[in-house]
Amino acid sequence: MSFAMIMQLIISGVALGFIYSMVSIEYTLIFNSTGLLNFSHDKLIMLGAYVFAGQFVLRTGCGYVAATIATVLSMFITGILIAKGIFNPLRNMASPIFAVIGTVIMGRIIKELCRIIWGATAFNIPGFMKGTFKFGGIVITRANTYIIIVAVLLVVALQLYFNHTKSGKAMRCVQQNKTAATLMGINVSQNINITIGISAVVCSVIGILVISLFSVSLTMTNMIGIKGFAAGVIGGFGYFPGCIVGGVLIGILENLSTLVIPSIYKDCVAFVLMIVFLLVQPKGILGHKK
Amino acid sequence: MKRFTSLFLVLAMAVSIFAGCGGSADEKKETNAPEETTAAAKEEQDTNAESGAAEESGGAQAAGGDTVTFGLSCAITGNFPLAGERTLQGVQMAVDEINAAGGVLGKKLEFVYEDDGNDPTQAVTVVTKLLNEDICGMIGPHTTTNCLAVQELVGETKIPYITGGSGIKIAAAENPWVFQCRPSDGMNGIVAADFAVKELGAKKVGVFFNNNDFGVGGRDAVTAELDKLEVEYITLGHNSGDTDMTSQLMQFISEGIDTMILWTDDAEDVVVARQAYELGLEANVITSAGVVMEQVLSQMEPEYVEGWYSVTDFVPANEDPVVSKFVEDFKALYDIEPELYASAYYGAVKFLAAAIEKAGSDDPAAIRDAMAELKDVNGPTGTLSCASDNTLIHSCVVTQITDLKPAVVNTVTADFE
Repeated sequence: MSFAMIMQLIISGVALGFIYSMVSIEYTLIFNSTGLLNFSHDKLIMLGAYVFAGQFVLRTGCGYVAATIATVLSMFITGILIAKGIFNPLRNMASPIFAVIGTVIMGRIIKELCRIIWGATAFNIPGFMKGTFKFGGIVITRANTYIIIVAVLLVVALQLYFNHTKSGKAMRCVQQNKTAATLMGINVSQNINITIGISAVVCSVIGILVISLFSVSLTMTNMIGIKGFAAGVIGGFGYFPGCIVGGVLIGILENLSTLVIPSIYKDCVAFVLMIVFLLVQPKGILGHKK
Repeated sequence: MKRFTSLFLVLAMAVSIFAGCGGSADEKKETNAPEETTAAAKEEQDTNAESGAAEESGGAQAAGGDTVTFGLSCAITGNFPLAGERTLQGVQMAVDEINAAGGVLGKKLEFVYEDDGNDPTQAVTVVTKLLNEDICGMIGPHTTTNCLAVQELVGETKIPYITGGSGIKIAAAENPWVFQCRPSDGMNGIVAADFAVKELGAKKVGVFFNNNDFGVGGRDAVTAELDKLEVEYITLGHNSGDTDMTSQLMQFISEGIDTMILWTDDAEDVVVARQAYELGLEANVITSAGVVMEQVLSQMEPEYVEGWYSVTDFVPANEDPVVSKFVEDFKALYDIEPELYASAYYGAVKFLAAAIEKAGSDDPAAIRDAMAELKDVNGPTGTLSCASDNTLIHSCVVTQITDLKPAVVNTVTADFE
């Protein structure tokens, strides 16, 4: 058990942790603006990967930059359609259960559509984000580097947007009090549409980043969907910096745990940690209060 | 507050119920994945079903009718639709060939098929349905889990059943009506360990397994053989669906293994291959069967798996005349290369037909007895001969991957009684 090995485990843990963090951010956006959980969020990540890899890169033959822009745009529109079709009509029903079930069913529809359109066989983009950087004995893959950079940029961009733009501030108003926001002349429904559109964009970014790590398949996001949820709970539910802290913590602890426990129990770490936090510190590490 | 709590509980319950349904519906509801072939085969099924019904109405007349019918259960939908599609293609091709050569017992060979969705519950349902048809034998369901779910039912109905499940548990069930048409995992594991030690001169082996029935069975076979050969080894596991193997691979590297034996499924093969390359694992790698399939190799870069070995039943690039003829014919018919499932089930149909000829009747009990004694039927996955434990294939090939193309290095035949 050398120093290099521990460093390697920490670094790949951090990279995976940032994926969990981004997943956590993506559903926190929706939770904050509507008070609802989007149970189809992992399917949206998968859809992003399919649209980018299956449609724009492999079928249409776009370059990576063009394909990324096209994917982000089409996912933003998808997000708005989802908001118009599910979240806005259903959020004011007698019980939140209507909207939640709506998202569950939508997840299934997305999955089946992907299978019908792009087929059941897993695939990959040859050469996409391939390669590694080496520092001494430690290996960092190109994909992991991109993930960390993009995640940091994303958090900074979202913070700037929410704190320094008019529409971002309006979104925070909607998060705090929908009635008051309406009275102040903010169009709550439209606001929710845009928030969910942004969430779908974050999903598509995650989808694109994990292609080279997971391959594009119908089950690619099963685990990161759940661990992203755990990241939110551990870091502090509904609070962006908490998402990052929770995700990275899970990623690192998960990897380091294999030094002391058999590696097949690695997945338990995130969930045990989540239960402990729910019992002992339900506000999460950063203990953010709304 | 109380109202809110109860509301939340109801919500949580509903979601968990939905999540529960989600899993099973997943495997059942998926339809029409392999569009074209399925449509063609459906027509075939319709005609088959009609003739089956006609026979049924004739009752005892069926035996004297002009067709012999068997049942096929495969996963057209569900989480493994590609396997079912290829199975259907292989079976259809074998049946067409047999009929072109005059059929069996001078009658036309036909089959009725059902979709088991690679789900044990659905497999029991469709097998029950098939057993109620007038069939003389049954092929599929595939996979060890599905086979174990239906084997008792098939035994009670007394219909001979050929499966492609390769688990050790199938033979251990000692059901005289169940036959295995693929080499058992026990044998493949032994071959992998032998090859590592005797051909590659392994001194320290890392055994990396998927923590499921298949992977654990493979690990047990490999480690038992390594114990016998007195070679040092370490075992590490991962779970199905794991996407980060850094910790296990780093442990292998720091332990200084010279050979890794990897027993896992398709998706995990891809992850391990990429990360082993990135982290710079310098060891020979021997894997279970899945990695040589086109659908797995197409997800990798050539350098990830360069020089890897795989112990498998079938690769298209084999100079054996039976295999090359099969590959040629299959390509001509479907315009794709055959893989494991197409070839294994093609062989199974040939074996069933030979048994019907040998029995001289389409009585299931007579066919079973004929199967148990049948030897030396040529198939693309090897010579099918029934051993005392009802396994039919006793050879496998060791292949090496060069530039994403697997080629045969060695064919290993085991002793059997």
